Amino acid sequence: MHRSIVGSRATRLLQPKTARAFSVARPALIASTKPVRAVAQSAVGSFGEDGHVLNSPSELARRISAKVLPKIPRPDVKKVVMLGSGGLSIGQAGEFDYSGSQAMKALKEEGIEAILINPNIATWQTSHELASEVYFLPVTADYVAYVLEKERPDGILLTFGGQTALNVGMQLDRMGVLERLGVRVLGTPIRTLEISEDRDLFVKALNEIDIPVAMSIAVSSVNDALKAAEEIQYPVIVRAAFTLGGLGSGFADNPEELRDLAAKGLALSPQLLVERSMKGWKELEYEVVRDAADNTIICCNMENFDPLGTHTGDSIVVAPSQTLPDDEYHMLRTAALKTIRHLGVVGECNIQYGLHPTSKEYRVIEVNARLSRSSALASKATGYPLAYTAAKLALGYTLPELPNAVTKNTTACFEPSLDYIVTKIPKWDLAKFSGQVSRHVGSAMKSVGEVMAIGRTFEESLQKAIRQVDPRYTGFEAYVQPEDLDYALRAPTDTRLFAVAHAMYNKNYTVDQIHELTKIDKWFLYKIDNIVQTSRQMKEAGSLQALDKDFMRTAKRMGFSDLQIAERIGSTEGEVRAYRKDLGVTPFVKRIDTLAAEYPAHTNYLYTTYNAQQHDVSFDEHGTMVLGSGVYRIGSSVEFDWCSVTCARKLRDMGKRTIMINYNPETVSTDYDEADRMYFEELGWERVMDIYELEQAEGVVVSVGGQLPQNIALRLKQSGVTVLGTDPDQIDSAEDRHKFSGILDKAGVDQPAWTEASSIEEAKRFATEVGYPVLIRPSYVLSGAAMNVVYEESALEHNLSAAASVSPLHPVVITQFIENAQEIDIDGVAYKGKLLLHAISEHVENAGVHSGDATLVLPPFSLHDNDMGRLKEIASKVAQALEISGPFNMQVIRQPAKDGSEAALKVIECNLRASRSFPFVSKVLGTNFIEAATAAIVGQDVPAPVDLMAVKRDYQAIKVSQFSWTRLPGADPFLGVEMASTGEIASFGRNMQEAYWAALLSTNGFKVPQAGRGVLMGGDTTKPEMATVARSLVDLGFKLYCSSAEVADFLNGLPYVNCKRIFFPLKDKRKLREVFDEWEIQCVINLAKARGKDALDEDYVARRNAVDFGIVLINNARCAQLFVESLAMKMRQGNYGKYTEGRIPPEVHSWAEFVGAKV
Amino acid sequence: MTDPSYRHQILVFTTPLIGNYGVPSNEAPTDGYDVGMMLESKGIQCAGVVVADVADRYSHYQAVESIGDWCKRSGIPGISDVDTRAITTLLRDQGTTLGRLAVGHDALGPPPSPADYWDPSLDNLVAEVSTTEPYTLNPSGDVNIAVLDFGAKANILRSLVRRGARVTVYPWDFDFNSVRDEYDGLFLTNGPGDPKHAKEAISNVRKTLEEWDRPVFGICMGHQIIGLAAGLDAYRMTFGNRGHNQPVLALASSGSILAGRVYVTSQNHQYALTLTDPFPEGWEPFFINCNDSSVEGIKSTAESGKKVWGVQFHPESAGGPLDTIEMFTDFIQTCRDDKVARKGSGSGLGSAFADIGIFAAAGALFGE
Repeated sequence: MHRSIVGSRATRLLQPKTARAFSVARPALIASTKPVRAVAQSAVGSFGEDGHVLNSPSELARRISAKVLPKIPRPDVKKVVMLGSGGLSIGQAGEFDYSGSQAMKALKEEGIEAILINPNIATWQTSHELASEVYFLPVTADYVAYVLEKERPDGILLTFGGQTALNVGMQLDRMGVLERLGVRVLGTPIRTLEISEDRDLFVKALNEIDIPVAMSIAVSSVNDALKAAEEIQYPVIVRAAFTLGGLGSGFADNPEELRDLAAKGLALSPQLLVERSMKGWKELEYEVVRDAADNTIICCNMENFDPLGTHTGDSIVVAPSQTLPDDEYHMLRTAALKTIRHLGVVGECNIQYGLHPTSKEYRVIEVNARLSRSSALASKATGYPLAYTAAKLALGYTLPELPNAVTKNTTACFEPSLDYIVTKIPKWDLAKFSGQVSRHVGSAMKSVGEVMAIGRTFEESLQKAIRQVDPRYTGFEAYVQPEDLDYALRAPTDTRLFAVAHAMYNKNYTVDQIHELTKIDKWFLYKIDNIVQTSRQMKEAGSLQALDKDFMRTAKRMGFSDLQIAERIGSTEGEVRAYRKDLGVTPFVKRIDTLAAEYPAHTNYLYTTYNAQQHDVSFDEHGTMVLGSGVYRIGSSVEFDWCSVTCARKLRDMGKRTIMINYNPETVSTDYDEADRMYFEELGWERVMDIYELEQAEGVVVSVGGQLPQNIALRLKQSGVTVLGTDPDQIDSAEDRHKFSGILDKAGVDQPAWTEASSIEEAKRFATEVGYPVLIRPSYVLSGAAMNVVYEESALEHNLSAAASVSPLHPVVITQFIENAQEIDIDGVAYKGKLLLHAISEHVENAGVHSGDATLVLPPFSLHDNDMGRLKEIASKVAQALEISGPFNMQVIRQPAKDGSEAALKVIECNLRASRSFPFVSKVLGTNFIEAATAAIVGQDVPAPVDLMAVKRDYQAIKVSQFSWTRLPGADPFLGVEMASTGEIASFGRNMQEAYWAALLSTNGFKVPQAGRGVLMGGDTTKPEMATVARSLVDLGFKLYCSSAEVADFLNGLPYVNCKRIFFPLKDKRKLREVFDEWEIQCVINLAKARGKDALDEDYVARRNAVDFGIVLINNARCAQLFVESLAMKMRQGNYGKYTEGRIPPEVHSWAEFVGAKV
Repeated sequence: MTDPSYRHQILVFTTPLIGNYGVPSNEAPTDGYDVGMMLESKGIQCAGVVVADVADRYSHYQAVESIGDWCKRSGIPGISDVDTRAITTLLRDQGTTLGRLAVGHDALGPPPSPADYWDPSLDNLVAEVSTTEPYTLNPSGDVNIAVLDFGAKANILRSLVRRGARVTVYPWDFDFNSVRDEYDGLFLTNGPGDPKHAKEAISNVRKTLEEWDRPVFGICMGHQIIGLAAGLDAYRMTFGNRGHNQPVLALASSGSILAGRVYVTSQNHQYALTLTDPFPEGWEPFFINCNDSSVEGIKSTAESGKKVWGVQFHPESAGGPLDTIEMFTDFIQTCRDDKVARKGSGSGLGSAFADIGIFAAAGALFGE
């Protein structure tokens, strides 16, 4: 044998210094001669008149295929209704905007008219670019039926709007509406959906094909649940059927726990499943695509970092699976294909497994016969457009006929191969709910969003993902240091990963110890240990100069940020960056292309990595960068994705190349075709600088992605980046309380009195001076909500000592709080300080409710021309003072003067960026604020100023918040200055009441209270609405009940009002349930002034249980008033709360019908 | 790595994380239903491995050593921390390439002259990996299958014996015609390199195909040998088809295979049969590759009266998808039916065979 060592082109890529041999033996050689024949070239020409042809670059393959591909008839549909998922809530978030948008893209390509029903106005899909008509109406069987009657479509798509759409679809089928109207269900048939949803049927179906499924007994009473558990043996898991994301589910180790759990579950669902618990098993998911010709493929599989027991939505997940050998991978793959074929899914679905860690025993946990959060993740992780493909399959295409969207000319009937690793980490916002909400995560999902990070090592992708979850995190660090570390490791919480960090960094726990406690597969822990070891070496090195190039590269390959490195060696982020670049250690840009580089890609779906030696792309486009919104969380959600996508599209229309950066897999902005280059990357300063420098971008847009990009705006500017639009120094001025206050004073704009106190005494002095209540905003929070309204000195003291520290280092901003004042939102666009557009929305709630939780009305309902003019004036002055070029938003409070003179208008907040309400005002007023803002940002095609508020409109729209209280056990459903909602919806009406009715019904699970039934009243009797609401309810035929003597006395003192005080157990939930049932309470109106003091606070118990029992809760006085007005109007109209064939209510009009144009 | 088809090749893994679940023991009981090993052959067959990120520490209950230790023990070099995607792009564009692994000082020295390369494809690698002596597995099996070993993956043999076959493995150049009447079917395995090196085999098989009408099934090189024997030509592809995600379109129905269906298959081949129109008489294309239309399978036509199939891909997988594993059941069943028909007695024993092979494939080293 020849033994000479020779060089070749290939070997020059193997950089000698960093490459390391993990096995050194004899040199080896491989074969090659001259290429004989390349991959066949792409050809033109089609075969088979009906288009049943393989999508292949090979002409021959196409020709041959035309003879054999099955001629599946394609349904003859011209008009299709698509159901969205409604407001974002825990368990059902932005992923359905992505999936619906892709589905409508597919419909549009086929020339099919799409009619969309989705009240989520902040979504991208609710646009006329995709839909021919949009209905901002509840996704409920009744309303969908009315729309079907009105639109008379040929088909309906049920699998792109999450569980909501699926449930509605099955209901419509049961109601016979689909059959009566001749509406065909496209894609996965109803029967399959039913089987996948009904656990009994599902288990039966899988038994038929000998696929093991978690043993499960369906029960409908607590006693039956206990009996079932005896049979199955503890520990058991209880799951509620027909609910979102594992709602009402949990584990029980003994009959006591089960009794509690079953009672709760039965409140949410008529059927419960008791199953064997597989805690500690590996959890895996496969995304499966099947066409009507039975071609079935796996798009991607995923493995949970957290073993079974943590809801997959609350688990850290990697794709593809990492600890499964080939045989285990294919055992589950084969079972997936068999199952999905048996169930008859046409489109996309996922299948979840539990796999025993030390045997080949596995069980199917569930099948979601629809697009899901996981499918969005899989789609983004692989580049395979699952939703688009599923929609095409629903239209009768088969997989071989469809193209691989990335390579264009190969077929969609393949399985992506990944040459990188993806890590998803959930985003929880549990800290927002102070101590009320348990931080434990289990079988019911609690997270509000998720991030996805891509790397070529697990270490790299994990550390990236951690930074994406929260900009305060620098990477894998011990952000929590629990006292009872073993318990923190054993019982998963939202911060367990950081407890692992603490155990490894500070407590020297071994991988074996941590595995024993957490059951996390050792492979993950070994990799994490690599991070820890590298960290130790870094610390030992001690100084920046002691880090040589090899070590620096190792650290970056492990995903360490410059800041993390700086912290370990006593340097700064800037110094580390400069030094690193001097060493020549910089990231490389790679493509996500579905085929691990085996075929050329046509898309620029990119990520950066240090685990490379070569870029996949060249940097000659010099595009304009748009920074996206990052993870969805409370306060920043799908609305900023709409803004980013709209901005990028507008830039493209203006002839610019675009570069999008975002890392949120639940978004449209991360679709590979929304920008010329899509970087699935971090939005911190380090990475944005990397990309900016590599791309030599023309400039960066920081004002359409919410607060996250704004936070780095000034630093980008100081680093020499061209920040487009409003000067970052002005952004800083608006965010710095002192600077902003000075600017307002100079511009002659009023503001509430405020101070920055650095001691409790100072705070007290100020509060006494301006009078209570005051709003406090500590800069350093120990526990409890960050912001609070305090009504008296003792509360001020309590808040500033027990809950937050106040010191010169941690000052507290105190603002005068004006009670009973109105709040107004102004959204505006300006160019070089001149106001171009503005929208004035009026809050229904008085000031004191966070604007993100408030109910917004547009056009305003009570503001007169004079105030409208003054508000515009304020907007103009602020725009001018801050020299705004781009979007901005202000909150203004209006305090009517006691003497009848002009009301006071005071600015309480201003952000020089697009706000949450931009999509709402754009869609309601029919003018796209972001398009105008984009023009202003880049100073091109800037539109002339126009006063949209001067236009008289014969409709009103209302934006209502979607809360996820049910998902947050223990949280107090109370509206305050801290935002708590997870999403929003908006509806239109001829008047405010009509719009409010449709919007309220659009919130998840809203059940219309029926006249003659009970309403539980409670709260602050000094609120004038207490009397007016009670009176109206009595007039409408409701029976009033209350728990407090005070409320009873007050209400019974009103003429013609009768309110019965009822026995109200505060601790025994089951008893309480019986009480609610006994009095047929269908609505809780609780107007308490402040949050509940503790878990035994009567008002808290009323609010909390309304939520837990799935009863309507109205917790704000102004909203209660509007609610009874709407209720009265609907009852007058008749036909309320139930579907009547052909009797279409007046709010059932499309967006275009209301606005009078398709904008 | 243990697949003999990779003999003398340097493997570049596109999957960046390799070695996560370690390497299982290659010891397995040689009972009736197994072939004496867990992996695809007795040891590592490839010449070297190139990976992006190797796991020094592995985690799997069946693993006994890390991939690094295994390589070391086997005397096979491996290199990590390499931009494997860059290498993939290079190989995609210029085809399979001669290369060397070099680290440290070796890599810093001047590159040797191209003439110093040894091109293993010029050698007859089949002779190197084929068994030298015939041997029999599962002697109590009810159908008698002869296997011509061009470098058989163990899972092919496993897939046969687990379906109840008695399997006798012969060296690649053995003239099967001398014993053919003892057997109910013939199986031709995969193997490394250029099929044209196996000239003796081609002419032997040509004779078999002409004179013998019992079932014949070939995989990979076995399929190419059948094709060459049938009069088709073979050519060397630039890069070949590799990996576990190759879609193939069935052009004809046979057994469990349905015409018009796309199957995802495991492949590793540099050579392919040339697609001609028309095909030689008595033959038809069975599968084509969806992406490059290369021939992925051929079969004898119904009119020919023969029962011969060849597939370029690996229905036995290990690693890879099991979409076409039932082709083994089809083959064995055909042999069994054929045997029964020949004997003219309908014992009916054959169809009672249970498919136990699906979930029992042995561990291989690459995940998708």
